[in-house]
Amino acid sequence: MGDVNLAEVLLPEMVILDCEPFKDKEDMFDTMTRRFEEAGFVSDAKAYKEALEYRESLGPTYMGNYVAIPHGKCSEVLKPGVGFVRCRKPFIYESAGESGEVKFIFVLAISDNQDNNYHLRVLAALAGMLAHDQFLELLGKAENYEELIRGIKELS
Amino acid sequence: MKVIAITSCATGIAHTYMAAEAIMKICKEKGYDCKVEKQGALGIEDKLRSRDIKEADLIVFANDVGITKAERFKGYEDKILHTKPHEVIKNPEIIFQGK
Repeated sequence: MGDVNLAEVLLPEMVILDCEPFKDKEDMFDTMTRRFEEAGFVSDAKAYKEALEYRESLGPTYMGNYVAIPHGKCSEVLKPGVGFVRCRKPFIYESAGESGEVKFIFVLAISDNQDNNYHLRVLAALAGMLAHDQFLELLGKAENYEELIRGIKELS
Repeated sequence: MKVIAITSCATGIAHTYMAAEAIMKICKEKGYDCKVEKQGALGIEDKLRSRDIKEADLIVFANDVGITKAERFKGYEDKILHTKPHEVIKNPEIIFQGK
């Protein structure tokens, strides 16, 4: 990932480890979009949720390996950011006609204006890491935020 | 064997980069040369040169949205495999399974 720092977009308040499984995707979106608003990444949780749902309508964000990576892009995103949830147990994630068991979810908030390429680059680097088994292992075993960030730095 | 690919997706962030990484990873495992051009929210990255296109044994288009500068591939259509980034992410082997 070079000199980009994931800790700048993946803030501690946006990481939930060992969460109780969500009822469904909708339930997870409600929780996460609220968090994005509270943490100041988006100005309007509802508008951001609509952006996530719009992206869902274009194609699946279920990625296999218990991973989902829903993402929304809209003008209500004040700064690009990432939320990460790890559930204690998998729940069924339905996405554009596909469904599967999910317990690792990365939710991406992408701003409409692309002036901030640096943050977009961090999000892109994170997406690339998801193709690697060592990264998935880390997601499963990190015990806290610090361990997660440290592990990501070691892998990148 | 030399594999080249272009990845692109609707938002230009998630699938573009995941698919690119998945293609590079499987080529590395198989010992193939590989170069992937990303057409995402950051513009065109790692742009394929005419030499790359000429030398490639396999060209993979993993795109949800139109390929930018597709005219570069004129005359090489028989080497192109068309797929979607989502398919590549779920099963990278798909790029070697013929057209």
